[in-house]
Amino acid sequence: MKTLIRLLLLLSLVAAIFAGRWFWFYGNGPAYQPPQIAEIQADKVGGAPTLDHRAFADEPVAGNGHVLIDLAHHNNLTRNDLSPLQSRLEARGVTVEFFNGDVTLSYALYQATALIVLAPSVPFTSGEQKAIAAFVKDGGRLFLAADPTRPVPPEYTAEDDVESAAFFPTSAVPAMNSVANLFDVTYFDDYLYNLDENVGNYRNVAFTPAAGQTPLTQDVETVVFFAAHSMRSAGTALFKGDPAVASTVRTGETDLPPAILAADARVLALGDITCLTAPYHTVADNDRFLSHIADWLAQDTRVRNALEDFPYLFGPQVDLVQISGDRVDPRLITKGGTLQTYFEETGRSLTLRTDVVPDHDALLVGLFSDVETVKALLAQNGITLTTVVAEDTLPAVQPKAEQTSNGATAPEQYLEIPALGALSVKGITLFIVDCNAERCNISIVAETAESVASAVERLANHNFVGCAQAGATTLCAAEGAPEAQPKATEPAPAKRILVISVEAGEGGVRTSAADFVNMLDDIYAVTRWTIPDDGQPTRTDLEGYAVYIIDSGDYAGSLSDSPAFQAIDRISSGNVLLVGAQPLPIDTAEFEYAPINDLVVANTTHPLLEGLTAGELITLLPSESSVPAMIISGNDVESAILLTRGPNSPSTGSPALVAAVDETSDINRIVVAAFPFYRLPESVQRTLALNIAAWLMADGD
Amino acid sequence: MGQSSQLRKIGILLLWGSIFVAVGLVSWGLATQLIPRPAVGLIKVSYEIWSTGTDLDFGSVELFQAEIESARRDPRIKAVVVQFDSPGGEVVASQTLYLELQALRKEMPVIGAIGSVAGSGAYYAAMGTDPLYARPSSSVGNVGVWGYVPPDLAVNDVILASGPFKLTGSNRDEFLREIEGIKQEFLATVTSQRGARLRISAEELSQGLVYPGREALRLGLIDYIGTLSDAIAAAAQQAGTQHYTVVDLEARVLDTYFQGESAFVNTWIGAADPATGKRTLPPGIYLLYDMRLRGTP
Repeated sequence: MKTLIRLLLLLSLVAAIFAGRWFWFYGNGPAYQPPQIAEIQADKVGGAPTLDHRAFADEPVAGNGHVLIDLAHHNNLTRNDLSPLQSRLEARGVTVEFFNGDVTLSYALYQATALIVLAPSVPFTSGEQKAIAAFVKDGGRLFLAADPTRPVPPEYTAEDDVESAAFFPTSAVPAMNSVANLFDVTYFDDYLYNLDENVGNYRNVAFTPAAGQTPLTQDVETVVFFAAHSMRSAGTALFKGDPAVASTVRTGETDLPPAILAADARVLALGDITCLTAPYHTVADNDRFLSHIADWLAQDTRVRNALEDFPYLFGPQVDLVQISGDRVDPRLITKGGTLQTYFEETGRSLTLRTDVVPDHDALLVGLFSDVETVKALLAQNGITLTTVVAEDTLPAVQPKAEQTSNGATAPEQYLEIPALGALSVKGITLFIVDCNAERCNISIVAETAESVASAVERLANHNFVGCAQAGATTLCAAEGAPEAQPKATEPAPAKRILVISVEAGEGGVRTSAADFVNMLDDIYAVTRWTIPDDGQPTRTDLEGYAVYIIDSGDYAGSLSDSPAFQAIDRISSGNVLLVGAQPLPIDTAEFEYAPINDLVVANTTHPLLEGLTAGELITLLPSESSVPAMIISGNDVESAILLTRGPNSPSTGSPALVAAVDETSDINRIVVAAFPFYRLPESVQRTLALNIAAWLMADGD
Repeated sequence: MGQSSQLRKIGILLLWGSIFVAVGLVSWGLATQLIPRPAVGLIKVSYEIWSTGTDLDFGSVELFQAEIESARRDPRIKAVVVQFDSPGGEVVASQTLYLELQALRKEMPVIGAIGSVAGSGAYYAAMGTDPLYARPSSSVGNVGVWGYVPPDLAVNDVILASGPFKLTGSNRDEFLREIEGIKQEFLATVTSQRGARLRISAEELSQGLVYPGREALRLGLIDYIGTLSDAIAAAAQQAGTQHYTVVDLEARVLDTYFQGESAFVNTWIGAADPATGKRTLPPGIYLLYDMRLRGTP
């Protein structure tokens, strides 16, 4: 019995050991029960729709006009991208021409009825902005389109790493806004997306016409844009997305138009370019919208009633009529022949006539000496021609008639022109533009037949330098034959200047880059490049300019970091002005710096100093940064010293402005100004800027 | 007589005592074998997830599969915790890891613990764990997919192929559809696995945002704010175990693989350089949260 009990105890011990161990380790609740794992809903997967490509038959209506397509601003597109739009325009009888910057934009726009700017990546200069603003004001049509997938092309950025350039592209929106902002349109640096209802991908967004039909949206039900910028404008929004459309930047906003018609329907701004390109122009109603854009561009609504519009203010048939004299002057026949060729090149014919034919466009030429004929013509335009003899009593403002060498008093003529006052006809050529709905006339009246012939040539060459304009009347000096200018169809390269500022001009200190642009923009095609914003310019960026102005600014900086060094190394041809208080990349023995307060004009007849007096003391305006300027070591400079440090500056007499010529170098002429240009008094600043630009330009002539 | 009887009793007592001790010891030994101390296996997903085909390199899905198999074979391991510190990686590799973890969940609890980041493909894989822990500021989400667009090759007489997409496998539009399909698969996986806990729409989720752990909890993308220890404790609890040990499955697999030799394991060719964040990705489609793009100049 005892043994049995002991055996039971023994078994209990064994059981307790096992049970205890089990409970010790596994007594923490029930054993694991595998869960029911939810299956995914397969019907919700793989349903990405295909693009809805639709057939569309374009039915072009004959239009007219001359459309200029900008390709001069590093536009991120290919000719193939333009094919669908270009073919639609050509089908409407529109002439399509590309602007590649060989001439100034204002020159290229003379002929244009519409301008297309797609994906620019270089901002437009102030001169170009003025030209476009005037063009649109005159009724020209402007089509702008940017695209978030078309940033500044990598070859135009300083980024060497291709992958980095792909991930961190430089936005081209500032370039587009440099034009769009002129017309109260702002492109946002964003893209629109729709996570709820989209066309295969979140950034392929469908839009429907906004309230109200416009010719551009007629019969369009849906367009699909493939990553589109949103815009803001007081103009008319053409399309709208559904409430789920969102912007990557404008969080929470719902008014996100991707297409705007602004400036009294003369500016069309689009946030997507892909929708215009093959094959995406066939998706949804994109093709119909494309045809509407072509229709819109094929309407010549440009008002041409100014002298600068010659010869485009005329219709296809123009008469050249000599309104004074019995016989046609042979010189006029010669000039008329030249004009005829020019007219033919612009699609017009010119007929030499002796009489005015009513309702014909005409170029009327006459002499002030044919008083009666000319007087009537001038009177029609509110201009009074007065012939004066010695005894006549004239208004005090008018000069007396001159006496001839034999003592006789020659009759003298005066013009009374509204807004210009009274002036002698001596040496004057008068152009009067008179346009109405039926016809357009340009009258040329001059003192002599030679002057008339020169005036015709001036007109043909679009050369109105030194002319004054008041309304429809333009007065030009008739002295000497005007310089031959290129014809519109044979343009000469424009004189282009690139102003590179090493710093952006922020934080209370500044560069003089904006000053240079303002001073030179009226004469030259000036482009500004700001390295912190636009990146280090590549060799390609630096091609095509005659003069480079590299402004290192008025900042404290280290020598080794100066991007001016890198920029100048990449210039393959052209001349250079280096300017600023920062380190300048010139060959001087050692770099020393000291405050600069004044300058002295050197005793030299160098053309750069024209307008300044030798020995003249120029007191500089205060520096905004108080950064000392570089001292150029005189021993190392084999060049003309034009300005030196003044008596109130340390290192008095050291060169501060030097000019050098080296015919063996890629850069033949170089000017170095070791002080910030903005510190010069305004008049000196302007004189020097123009002189320097002219001298640097002269090398290329 | 009396003395000898007493001695006999003592002898019997000692005998039984010895028997009890011996049986006890033998039983303990047997119990140790039959009822081993439970363990929680730890799998670390600390690299970009990718596929080598065969090698057990760091971050390779083959290494993770070996670790999962090791957990299956080890009777002591009653639960697995997967610690995520990964921005994701290749699509198929991430999906493989997700499916492997789902399969393992049919055998034992599989708990997820997000360290610094479970982005994109790592979050996809984390859908194979339940519940899911994260720290208050862990980076969670980045649901979506991306890839480099294949070039549209023109037909030519230099390279002859049997079909228009033989060389590239796709064109731009088809590629976009492929991307969209993978995104939908990803979203369907998240919505199915998180179920009613999810308080964010699929559309919002498809933005690809990365959420801090606290926000991820609010949106139902994770279940708890907690540490790795909390996740391990939860795993043990789900398995009904206590007094457990933790087994580093990665170390175990690599030790076995290299048989005591010094382990030299490659990382993926497309892995980001820890110092610079730079990487060169081979062609492909990625469930990858490319963190260098966040705040990198």
